[in-house]
This record gives sequence, structure tokens and C-alpha cells, in this order.
Amino acid sequence: MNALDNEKDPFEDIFRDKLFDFESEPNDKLWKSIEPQLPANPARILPYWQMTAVAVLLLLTGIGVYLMSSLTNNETEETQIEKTIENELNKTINSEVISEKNNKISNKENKSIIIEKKYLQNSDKLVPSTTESLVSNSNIQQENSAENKRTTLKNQQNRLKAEGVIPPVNLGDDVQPEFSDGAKQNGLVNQYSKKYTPNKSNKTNRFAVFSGKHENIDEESVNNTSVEATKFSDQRYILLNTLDGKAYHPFTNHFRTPKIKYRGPKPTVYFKESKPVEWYVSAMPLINYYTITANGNDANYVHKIAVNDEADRLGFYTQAGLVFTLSDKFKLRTGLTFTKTNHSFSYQVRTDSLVVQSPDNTGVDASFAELNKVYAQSAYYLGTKIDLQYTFLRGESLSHYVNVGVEGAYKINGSKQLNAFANIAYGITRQIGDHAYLFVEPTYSYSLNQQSDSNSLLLIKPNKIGFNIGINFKLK
Amino acid sequence: MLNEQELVKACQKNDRKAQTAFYNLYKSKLMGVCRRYTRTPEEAEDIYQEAFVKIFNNIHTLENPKAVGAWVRKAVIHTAINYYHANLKFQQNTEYENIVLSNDDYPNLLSTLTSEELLALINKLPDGYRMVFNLYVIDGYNHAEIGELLGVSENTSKSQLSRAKELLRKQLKQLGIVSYERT
Repeated sequence: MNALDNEKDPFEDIFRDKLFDFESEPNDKLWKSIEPQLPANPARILPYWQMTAVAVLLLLTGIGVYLMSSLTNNETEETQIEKTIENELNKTINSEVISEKNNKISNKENKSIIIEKKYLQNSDKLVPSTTESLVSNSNIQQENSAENKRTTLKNQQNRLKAEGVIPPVNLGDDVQPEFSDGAKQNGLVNQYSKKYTPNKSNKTNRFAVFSGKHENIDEESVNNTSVEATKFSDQRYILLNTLDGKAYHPFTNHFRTPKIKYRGPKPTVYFKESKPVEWYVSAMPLINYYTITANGNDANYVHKIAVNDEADRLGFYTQAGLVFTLSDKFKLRTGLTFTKTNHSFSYQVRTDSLVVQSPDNTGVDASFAELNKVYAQSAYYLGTKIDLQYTFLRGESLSHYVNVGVEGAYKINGSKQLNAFANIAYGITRQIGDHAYLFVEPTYSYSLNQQSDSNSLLLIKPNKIGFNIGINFKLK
Repeated sequence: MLNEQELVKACQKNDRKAQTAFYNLYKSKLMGVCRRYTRTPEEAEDIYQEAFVKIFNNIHTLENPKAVGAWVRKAVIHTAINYYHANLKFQQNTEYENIVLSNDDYPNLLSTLTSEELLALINKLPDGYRMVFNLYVIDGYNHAEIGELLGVSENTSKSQLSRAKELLRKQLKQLGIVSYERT
């Protein structure tokens, strides 16, 4: 200082004595203008071990959810097809009484006549196959030959038609048997069987087809079809940037080393925005919210789609990556994702098989047979995502933002499949440490492409809804 | 009631109540410093607000809370210097020569002047003179430090101090004060 620079000067001393501690009362309005510019009251600063504990708890919670959902879905790890073909008379086409004279066609009282037409011809996926079969629960193996039986059936049907017993109204030409062209019929059957009964040849149809050529017609399997996967996002804005001690130093440096060279007026830079890079990790339980529709013309045959078990819809989602600060309000987030999803639902397929029963041995009811099917899937996805985050409100302790982005996810089990998702989320973030920010982020993930089951009966969009919880760590 | 050091620590955690208490503790002292370094009360208020925002935003860098008094004073002084560079350096200061003080009844002893009266004299100094006079005479910086702070040579600082004192003496002489002895 100047103690050695100058001898005592009474003139200076008087000024120093009177002005060194000079005080002046400021206007109260000044505080009102200063206060909003002060760093906000932060969230409770957690020590690093506590932050670590929070992160570990989040991960354990996620793993727990994942394991629980895996347990509940063990039974549906592979696509299950419950083929319980019951003679549900959901839609009775006709009911006719067949006179006693028709009973002599069969020797047993419990014989039933089943006229099957598996699927309509107007479905390009379901090859029409019109057959007639006589089913005998006890004597089918004792018949002399399929050809003989076919001839018998033909004769029987001709008689019924001639007598007006079998109504021609709903059956039309499609139902008319074509025994005269055996080769063609066999070709159709074979084609159908090849398409719909890949691995079920050892199963026995409850309505064992008399001819032996159609044993498997009713045994349709729905292979495990890959569905969905998703991803959510989230993100966060740095609420209290002025708390970052590494962000600015000009003020401090001035005091420690007064080596300031001013080369002209400078704008104030006290609020210069840093652009930190953060890494983030998050986990969330998710609910699969599939959009399921029948595929094209099959809409006439697929119905009663219903979720089997709400608990099955629970999945798990985790992600990690980097967040880049683009500006005061925008951030870019990118990272890797892992998704575990489940879903199971049942539906009915109306076949073109006409079932005629004779419950009282005096007549028969006829109806279309219904197949009860189950679509179940447990899928694992690895993906990558990119989100744009816009912070629209920054309060004292919480910041609010919206997040939009896209994600590509690849199914890594079962049938490999790539799914694309559009993610939208609303997030709230709060500082929990010097460099750590907690965020919660309800997210909706919309599937941009569709999946289908093995029979292409259904179109499935594996949408998801989740509640994302994660932590951001500032890197610089 | 928190003592000064506890107050600093609370402010370092951005506790709003502590910030308010801290402000009330230092507001008069720091406004006094601002008034010395500026020509008008409006300029003083500008520096005052800017300095307090800087103080609260950087108080977490204060490693020794015991030194907070000197630290906040330096904060204001450096803010005033920045303000001088940004706003005052290129202004013309012609009005000082035109000051007319015709009160012959002023006491002839400098020490009898009040702080406000002395402040009025300093306020009327040209900006550069006022900066050097404050830094050297009142706040205790030497000419080398002042040269660095203001971006001038050490000799310039010395000559500006000399001229500042000369202007003050001239002004005081017009007030009838010729003796600078302490009472």
C-alpha cells in the first residue's frame, strides 16, 4: 500500500479519517432489484455418499422391477397359443332339425356332423379350404377308408340339400364340398397346413378331420412375435448455474492477483452462461399401452381383443448418456437405452367352420366355430435415442421442461426386429448437490411402426407410458 | 442471531434469510464506498446493485469468512473501477472548473468539515482524479497497484493524485480553508 510511498500528509489523513468508514443509507428499492438476481435458495445439498446412495437405490429399484416383471412373465416367455376350440355357439347360423332318417347315416347316437370351411376365400392370408367331415368321437378309427366316408358324406349332404334341411342361405358356394376334385382340395389343404401349422403335426384336433388330411387345420399357432420396445426420456436444465464454482472466476481472480489490464469498456460478464456437459442415468417402470387392431380383411374374424392381466403390462426401462447445453433454454440429450417389456392379451378368431351338433339326438345346431387365442410377449430391446429439451420455466428450486425426441430400439430376443419411437415428456428437475440434479419425467412413447403376429391377424403398436426418474451429473 | 462468519457460511449456501441479513449488515458501508467513487448518487446506486449481485454470486469463493469485511469492500471498489472503465473514462469533466463556492463563512479548518461536505468535494473531481484519490488516499492502494487497476502507468497515477489534491486545495481555499491540521 502507500505507507512507504508517501510521508504523512495531514491533508490526506483528514480525508481518510472522515471517509474511510463513511456510510450512506441506500434506498430500500435497491434491495428489491438486487434480490431477484441473487442465486436461488438451493435444494438441500447432499453429500456425495448420499447422492451415491440415491443412485444405487434407483438402480436397485429398477433391477427389482425388472426381476419381478420377469418372474411374472416366465410363463409367457414364449408365445403361447391356447387353442381351445370349443363349440361356442356365439353366432348361430341356423338351427335345423334333422329327421330321424338322417340318423341312420351314423351308427352312434353322439355323432355330430361338422361342416367346416376354415377360412373365407377373400382373405389372401387365409387360404380357403372347404371340407366336409363327419366326426365320430368313438368310431372314427373304425371307418373303412377316407374315400368311403367322403362318399357317404356327399350322399348325405345331397340328400339334406334335396330335402331343404341344410339351408343354402349363409353357406353359399364357398361351403359347397368339392369332392369331385380331390387333387385340388388336397393341394389347398396342404397349402393351408404348411402356412398355419408349422410345428403342431403331433397334436390332435378335437374335431379330428375325418379324411385325415385336415387334422391340423384347427391347430394354428401364433408364433412369438416381436413387439415393441420403447424408450423414454427425459432430461433437465441447470437451475442454479451460479452455484457452479468452476464456472466463473473473474471476480475472485481480481482480488487474488490484481493484474488487470483494461483495454476499453467491457460488458459485464457476471452472468455469463456456461455450457456444461452432463451425463445422466435414469430408470423407470413403464406400462405397455399397445394399440392392437385387426389386420385388413381379418377385421371380420378377429374380435374380443382384451388385455389378459394388467400386471403383465409392467415393464422396465433404463437409459444413460450425455446432455449437451445448446443455449439458455435448449439442451440436447443422447444416450443408450435398455427396455424390458411385456404384454399379453387374448382375442377370438371367428373361423368359417360350421359346427353342427346334435345335442339331443333329434336335431343339430349349426354355428361358426371360434378360436380363443392368446398373444403374449416378453421382449428386450437395446436402443439409442436423441432428445431436444426446452426449459420453459425456471423457478427458485425447480425447473420445468419439455422433451421431444426419437428412439431406435432393436429387439434382442426372439425374432429380431427394429422399432422406432417418438418420445414426448414433461420433466421437472431440482438440484440435489453441487453438480447433481434429480429429475422426474413422465414420458409417453409412441411407436412409429407396427408389428404383427405370426399369422398376420393383428397389427400391434407397442406404445409405452412411463415415469422416468434419474440424475444428471455436471461434468464441466 | 448468527455472527458474521456464520452469516457468510449461510450465504455461501444461498440461504435467502442470511442473504437479507448480510445485505442489511453491509448496505450502508458499501453505499458509502460507492458514493466516494462516483459523481452522482445515481451512479453510486448502479455500482451498488452490481456489486451486491457479484458479492452474493461469488461469496462461495470466499475461503476465509473472517476477511469478509475487506472482501466486500474490495468487491465494491473493483466494481467501481469497472464502471469507471465502462462509463466514466471517456466523459469530459469540465464542470469542476466552473464550481463557484462563495460561502465566506466556511470554517477555516478542513477537519471541521463533515464527511458529506468532503464527499461533495471528491464527487466533483474529474473521474480519473477521483479514482486515484480514493484508491490511494482513502483505500490505501499504492501507485503501482493503481496503475494496474486503472490501466495507466505508475507515474500517471502519481501525477493524477497530485492534481486531484491541488484541485481540492483550490476548492477548499475558495471555501476559506487554508489549514489542514487536525483538530
